[in-house]
Amino acid sequence: MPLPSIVAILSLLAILASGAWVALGLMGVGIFSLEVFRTIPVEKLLAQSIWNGISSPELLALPLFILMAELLFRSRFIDGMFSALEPWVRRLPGALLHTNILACAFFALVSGSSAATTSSVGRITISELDARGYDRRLTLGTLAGAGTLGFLIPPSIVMIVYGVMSQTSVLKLFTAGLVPGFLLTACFMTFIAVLSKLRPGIVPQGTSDNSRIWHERLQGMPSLLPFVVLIGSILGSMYGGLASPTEAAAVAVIVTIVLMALERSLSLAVLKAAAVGTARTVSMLGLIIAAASFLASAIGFLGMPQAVAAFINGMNLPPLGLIVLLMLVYIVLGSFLEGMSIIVMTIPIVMPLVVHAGYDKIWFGVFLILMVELAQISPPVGMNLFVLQGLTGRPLSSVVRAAFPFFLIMLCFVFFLAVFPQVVSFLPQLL
Amino acid sequence: MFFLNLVDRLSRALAFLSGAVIIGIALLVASEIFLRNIVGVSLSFVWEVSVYLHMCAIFLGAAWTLRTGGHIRVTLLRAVMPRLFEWFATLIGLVISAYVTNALTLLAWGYHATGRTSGSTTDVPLVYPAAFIAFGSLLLTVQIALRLVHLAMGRPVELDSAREEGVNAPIMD
Repeated sequence: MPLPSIVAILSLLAILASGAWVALGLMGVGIFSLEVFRTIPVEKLLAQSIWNGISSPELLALPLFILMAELLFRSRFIDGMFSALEPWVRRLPGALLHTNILACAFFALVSGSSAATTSSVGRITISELDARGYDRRLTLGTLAGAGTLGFLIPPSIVMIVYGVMSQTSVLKLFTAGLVPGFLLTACFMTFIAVLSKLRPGIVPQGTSDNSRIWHERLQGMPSLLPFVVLIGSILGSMYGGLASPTEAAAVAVIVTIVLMALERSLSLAVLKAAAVGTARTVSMLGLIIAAASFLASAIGFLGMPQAVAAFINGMNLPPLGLIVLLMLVYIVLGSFLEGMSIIVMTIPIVMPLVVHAGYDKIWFGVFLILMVELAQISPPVGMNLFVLQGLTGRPLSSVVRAAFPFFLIMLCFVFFLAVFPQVVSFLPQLL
Repeated sequence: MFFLNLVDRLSRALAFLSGAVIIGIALLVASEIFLRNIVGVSLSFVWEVSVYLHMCAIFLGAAWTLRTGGHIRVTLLRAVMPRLFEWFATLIGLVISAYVTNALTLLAWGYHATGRTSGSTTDVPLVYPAAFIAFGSLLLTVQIALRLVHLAMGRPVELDSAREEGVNAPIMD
C-alpha cells in the first residue's frame, strides 16, 4: 500500500486513541495527510467539503427524526404497551419475554434510534418482567438484541446518514429495512420460543386465566393507538406517495406534539428539554457528517480507495469471502468505536469494493446497519449495553453475557443476507 | 470566572436557539405540505431556507454539546492516565478546531466579498448561513480553549447535561 494511505490509517488510529473528539479527529487526519502529502489549498477544500456535506436537502430528515425521538422519549405512549401486548403473547412459548421484542419492533417503527428504543421499552418492561419472576438475563438479552431494531426498521437515523453519504435513496433504504427487520424480529422470537421449550425453567410457570383473553386483547388496543397513528402518518405518507422521508418526518413531529398534548405529557419544559437534546444530537452527528465529507475528499486525493481496492483484489476473494472479511473488520471496529463513526469512516473505501463484488448500494446499506447494530451490543463500547447497564445498575459484563446469544443470532442473520441478498433487494425494487 | 460563565451561558442559549430552529424547520416543512396539498400553494423557499437553518443549527449547538460531553470520542485509554489524556485530547482538539474555524471564517469572508448568493429563486446571500456557521465554530474553539482553563483549575471539564436540562434521551449516545 502507498505511504500516504498507510500514514493516513495510522494517524487516524492514533488521533482516535488520543481521545480527540471523533468529528475533529476525522478532520485532523484529513488536514494532516493533505498538508504533508499534497500541495492543494487544504483550507478551501475543508470549508467547501463541510459546506457540501451538510447542505444536502435529504439530510433534513435527520434533525426531524431526532426531534421526534426526543419527543417520543418524553411521551407516555409506551406506558400502556406492555399491558396491551401481554394478552397477545401470553400463550406463546416464552410468554411475556416476547413483549420485549414486539415492543421494540413497534417502537422502532416510529423511532429511528436504537438506544432510545432500548431505553424507552426497557424502562417499562424490565420491572414488569422482574416482578413476574422472568430470568433477568433473558430480559436484558431480548432488550439488547431487539433494541437494535431501532436502526434497521424504518425510520432510521443511521439509514439517513448512509443514504446521504452514499447518494442512495433514503426511501428505498427505509423500504429495504422492513423485511430484514421483521425477519430478525421473528428470529429473536423463535429463539425465545425454542429456548423456553428446551429449558422450561426460564419462564415462570403460573396459571393465567385465559377465559377472557380476547376481551383483554381488545381492551388493550386503545393503548396502541398513538403508535398506530404515528406509524400511519410516517409510513402512510411515505408509501402513499404524499411525502418524502423529510416531509414524513415533519408531519410525524407535528402529530407527535399533538398526541402528546392530548395525553397531557407536553409542557414547555418538555419541549425545551427536547429542543436542547435535539440540538446536542444534531450538532454531534452534523459535525461528524461534515468531517466525514472532508475526509472522503481527502482520502480521494490521497488515492486511498484505489490502494485499498488493489490490496483487497490481490487477495482474490470470492464475493462471500469479501463479506466475511468485512464482517470481521466491522466486528473489531465495532468493539471500540461507536456505530456512526464506523459508517462515515468506512463508506468511501468499502462501498466501491462491495459494489464491485456484485452487491448493490441498498444491500450494503442494510449490511452496514446490521454491523452497526452488532457494534451497539459488542463490548467494551456498545451503546445499547450502556443503556441497559444504566437502567438496571448491573455490571457491564453481565449485560454483555445476556446479549451474547442475540449477537450470534444477528451475526448468522447477516450471513444469511449475504447468501440471499434478494431478501433485502426485492421490496425496494418494487418502488 | 465571569468570562467562563458568560461563554457557558452563551453556548447554552445558542443550543436552545439551535433546537428551536429545528422545531421551526418541522413547522415550515409541515406548513408547506399542508398548503401544497390542501390549498394548492407551494412555498418554494421552504426547502432552501430549511437546509440553511439546519446547517446553522449544527454549528450553533456545537459548543454546548462539547461542554455537556455530547460529542463522541474514544475514551478507552482515559483510565491509564486520566489527567494527561484530557490535556492531550483537548490540545489536539483545540489545534484542529482553530484550523477549521479559520477555514470557515475565510469561506464566509469570501462569500461576503464576492456577494455570492444561492442562485435559486430565493437567492439567499450565502454569507448569512456561512457567518453563523463560522461563529458556531469559533465558539466551539473558545469552549475547547476554556476546557484547558478548567483543567488547569482542577474543575470538572464537562457539565452534567441531565442536571442542566432534565432527563437525557439516549438517541445516539
